[in-house]
Amino acid sequence: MRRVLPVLVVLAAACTQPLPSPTGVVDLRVLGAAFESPEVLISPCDPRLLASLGGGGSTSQIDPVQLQRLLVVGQRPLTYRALVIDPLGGGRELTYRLRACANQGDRECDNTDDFAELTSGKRAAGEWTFTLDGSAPDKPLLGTALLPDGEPLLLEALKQDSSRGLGGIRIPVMLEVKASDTDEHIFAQKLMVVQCQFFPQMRENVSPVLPGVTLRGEPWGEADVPQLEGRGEVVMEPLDFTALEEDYTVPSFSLTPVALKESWKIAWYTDVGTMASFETGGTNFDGNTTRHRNRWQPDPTVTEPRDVTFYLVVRDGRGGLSWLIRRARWTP
Amino acid sequence: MFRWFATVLVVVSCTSAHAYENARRKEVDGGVHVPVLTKAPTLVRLERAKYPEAAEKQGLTANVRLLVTIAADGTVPEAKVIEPVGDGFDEAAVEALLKSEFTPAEVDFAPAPVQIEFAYRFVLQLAPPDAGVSPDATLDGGATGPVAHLKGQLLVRGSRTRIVGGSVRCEETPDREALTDDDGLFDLEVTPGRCSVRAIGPDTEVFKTDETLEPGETKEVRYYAFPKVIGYQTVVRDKREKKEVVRRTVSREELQKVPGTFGDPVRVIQNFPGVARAPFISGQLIVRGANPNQTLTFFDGVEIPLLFHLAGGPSVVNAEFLDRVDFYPGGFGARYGRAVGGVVDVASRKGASDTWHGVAKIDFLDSSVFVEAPITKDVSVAAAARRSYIDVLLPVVTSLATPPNQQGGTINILPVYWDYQVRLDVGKRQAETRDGNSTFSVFAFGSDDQLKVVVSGGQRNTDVSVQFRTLFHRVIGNWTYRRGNVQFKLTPYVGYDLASVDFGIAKLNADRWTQGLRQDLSVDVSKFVTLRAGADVFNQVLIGQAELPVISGVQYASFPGAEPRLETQRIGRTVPTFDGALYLEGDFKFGPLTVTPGLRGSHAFLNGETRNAFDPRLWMRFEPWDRTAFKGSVGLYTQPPQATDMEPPPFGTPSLFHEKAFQASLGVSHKFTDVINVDVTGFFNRRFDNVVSPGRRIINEDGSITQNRSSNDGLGRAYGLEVLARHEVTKNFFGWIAYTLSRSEERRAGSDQDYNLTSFDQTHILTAIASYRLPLGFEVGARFRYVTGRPTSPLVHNADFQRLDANRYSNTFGMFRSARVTDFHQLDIRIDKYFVFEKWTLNVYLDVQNVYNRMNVEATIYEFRGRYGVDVPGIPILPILGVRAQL
Repeated sequence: MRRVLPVLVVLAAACTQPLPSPTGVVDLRVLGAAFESPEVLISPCDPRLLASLGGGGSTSQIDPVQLQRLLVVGQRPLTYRALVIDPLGGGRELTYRLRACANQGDRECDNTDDFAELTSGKRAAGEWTFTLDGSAPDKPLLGTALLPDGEPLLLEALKQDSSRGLGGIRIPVMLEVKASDTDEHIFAQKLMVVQCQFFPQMRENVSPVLPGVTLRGEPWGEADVPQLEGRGEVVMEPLDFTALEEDYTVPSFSLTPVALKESWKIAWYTDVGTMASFETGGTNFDGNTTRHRNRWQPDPTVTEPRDVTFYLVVRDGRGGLSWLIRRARWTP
Repeated sequence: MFRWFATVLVVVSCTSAHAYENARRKEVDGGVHVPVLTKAPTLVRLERAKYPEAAEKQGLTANVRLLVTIAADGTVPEAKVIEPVGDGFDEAAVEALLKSEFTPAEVDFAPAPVQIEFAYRFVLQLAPPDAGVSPDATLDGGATGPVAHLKGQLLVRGSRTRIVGGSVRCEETPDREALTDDDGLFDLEVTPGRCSVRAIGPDTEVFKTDETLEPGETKEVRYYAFPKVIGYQTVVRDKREKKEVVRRTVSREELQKVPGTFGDPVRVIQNFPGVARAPFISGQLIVRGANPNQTLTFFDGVEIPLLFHLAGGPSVVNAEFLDRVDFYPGGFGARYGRAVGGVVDVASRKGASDTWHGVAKIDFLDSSVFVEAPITKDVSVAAAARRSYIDVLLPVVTSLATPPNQQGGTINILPVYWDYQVRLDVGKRQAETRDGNSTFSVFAFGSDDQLKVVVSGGQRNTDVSVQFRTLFHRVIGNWTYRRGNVQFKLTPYVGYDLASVDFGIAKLNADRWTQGLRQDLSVDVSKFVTLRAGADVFNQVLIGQAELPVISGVQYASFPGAEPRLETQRIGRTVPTFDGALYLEGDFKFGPLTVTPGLRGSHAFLNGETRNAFDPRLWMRFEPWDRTAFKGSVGLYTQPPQATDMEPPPFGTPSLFHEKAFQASLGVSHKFTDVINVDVTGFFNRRFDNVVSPGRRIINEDGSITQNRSSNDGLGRAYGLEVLARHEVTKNFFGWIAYTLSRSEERRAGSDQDYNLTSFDQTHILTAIASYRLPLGFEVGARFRYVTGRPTSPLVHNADFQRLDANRYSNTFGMFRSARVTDFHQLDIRIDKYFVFEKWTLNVYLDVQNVYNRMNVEATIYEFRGRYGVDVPGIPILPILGVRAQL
């Protein structure tokens, strides 16, 4: 029955009223956020240290060399970028807060004594960039941030990680965006990964970058604004990027190396109409990978020519993320 | 001028071949010794009733139904009128019966008093022209004139069942009568000339025809009498001892007639008190708050791995093969174990011993055939087979109902299932030899389910290739020996199961071999003490191979967002399981009080780990009055973990041990009439050491992590009240009203959380079922259900919570399971029409689910940001037409 029940739910769901597609961006949205670099590697790294620290061991009982090696990574400057879209906002100012916390389950990242403020302010939607290099009070270093009780954020995140860092020490960074004139309120969590180099073959992750995209089989550059006509579907496909997908190694729970290969997933968005598929690519749970062909489905209610923006957000499945933006002119 | 005669119409209970066989099927039931009718009484001499004078003058006729007690010597000490008809007929019938005589009935091969239902029909008839001459005298004298013989067989029209105890006579000589024997045969000595034949049998209408016989002629005939009741078979309801507080038994008549169950016997269980409504049309049994896998299903006492085809389709056993289904929602006997929920025991039936019969059934999912026949007098065989044809019809239906495949490529969806059952029975039907009586049977059955889905090519981004297969075979032997007060039953069995999954690059294959033995011994030590003991042993070996990707989250810490390409791993395992159990229980009777203590002990060897369990149980039954019984039980019930769940981490948890439940119940039942009884039972179940996932994660000193798949941290409790008002199967009607008031809760040990409602908690469950026979071969049945909506957590949206790495939103819910979906109610109707031909019967039925198209909520899906939810409705109005032919 466990196999059949989901099928029944899906079949029955087909009889319900249609729900909006997440590919259609019609109001305030955060489509993606990324760190550069997406991962910091601690090299080398002793799993016993992580187990001890994660288990609540006192820092005084830990080999100071190892501990220092762990904490020094916090000195690395980082850049945080977010893609915030507000199609109906008309350039309005949005209130934002960026903070980091130790608990991934802290949905608003504001548990008492468990989060650190990074920066805040107001700005209009767009591609937001925050530098976290310690050069100013509103540009703190993420890795050395302290919680209100003085505990290093990095160590507290390790303590609250049920995998004790074997999947990387993951620090949740929360971008809170709020519109003042509506009730739109978004909490968007991005994980910053501090990974231990358990095996020599482990390498620091590099952000995935799409080399380009085609429209109806033709190259579609960032500056291009192709003309689309009619109400028929339009096929889009990214340029082949399989050579950019990295091989990488992670530790198993029994501390043996597990060899993996990235299988990028692309999320597709548009501000007019919808996309046929919300996400393409990635590896299914049957182990097979999927292709990236997608189709734009124009909004049938639109009668006047419109500028259409497309957003392709790519994820590498280990914390790396980037996006492409393309524009076109559509005449129904 | 009228002349009267009274004739026997119905001798239901003890003269029916079906009655006899049915009784034999109930030799051992749940380890309880059940008195078995081994020889039916037959009428030796029927005293002619005196026709009430006033009634005769008024031209009145009557049919008096009586409950007749036949003593161990065949005399009739008591006859009670069941439905008084007045006008002096009742008294006349009772007076006649008290002077009549039968051959003694035998219970467990010893003469014993029995009760039967009897009908005495008073009919007025014109006196024949030669009324002044006694035909009896002529024929009985034997020398005054030539005679003729009308010999033949009396059968039931439509089913060809032999009519036993039927009456055949010529209207011209109404005092001469021939009774049919066990084979329906009769030999009527008649006066040559015209004979207006009048034949009648138990549960048949009068059959009339004309014959002309020459002096000295012997004429061979075969008559088919129209059944009074079409579709139902005459069944003895011998009194079954009942030590459990609650045992719901469903007969074959009810099994196939309950609307909304598609004639599926096991689904009928879902309509009894204590069973929560399962979502959609799934066959899950959620009994008194227990998980579905905590209620075991046995087939003739042997556990089967699969209950329904394709996990939610028809049950794997042909309905024609079933005799009855016993359902114990809790407090079951020590004979049963390895379950902390309830038990369902499905009993098969032996093949017919009179002549061959068959049933063919066709509906939109599958077709099946069932055949039963005697091979010799003491050997019978029955066989059934079924095969689905969804794989043939589905492509046709989908091509008609859906737009063309716009994306191109290939779409193949091929679900296929089949099953079979064969049973051979050997054993003397009646007399016991000096050394006791033995019967043997061999029962083989099996099932195969395959589901293949291939979607590939064209403009698709994703190719899907899925193939599931679940196959099992079981062969069950049975030797039953009884002598005097001792009954012994031995049931060896073997089995083979195959489960395979082929899903993309993942491949799993598991072969499981099973050998088992059940032994049950019952001894009536005295009138006051009955002891039962037995063994329940099985050994299984599972040989599994798997080729699958490294499992994220299980073998390494996964990262949300985009699953990577994974290296595959080969895993080969041999998993042994041994579980041996002994049980002992005894009935100690102190007047109206029966106390039954019991103990079941088991020793298990599960994947290299040894586990023992001891389950003490106690039942009490107090019957201060004939029709009323108070019942109570307390006991410990244990269920071993699956051996495959005890694999080393991360695939299992070797430290798992038995799940446990303390079950207590208290109830009263009262029989208002012979066919209407009401049962009220309160229950409390406390489950602990339940196996729950995920298990504990242990951080080792070297930094590695031991991730146990599950742990014994589950706690649960359920309590409530169950009411069942039931009208047993009679000629025209059966039905019941079931109501359950309950609450089931769960929590995890070691957490600081309080008990929460389980996902299947349903405060009120009301089910009303009725089936009524109409004239002209029609029968109509209805089922109405009302169920409190299942618990749900209310959606509370105050902001969008986004996990950017996973590219998903998190919904915000209020207090866990603090709300409920809207209540469920639904009406299902079934209409049967029988066309009775001489040698076969055609049954066309229409089963309509959700007649008034209620949009019941089965699930909720949410807007992608969790801002609102949309209810997913259940099955809309769904008519299903089926055809069933019975030979």
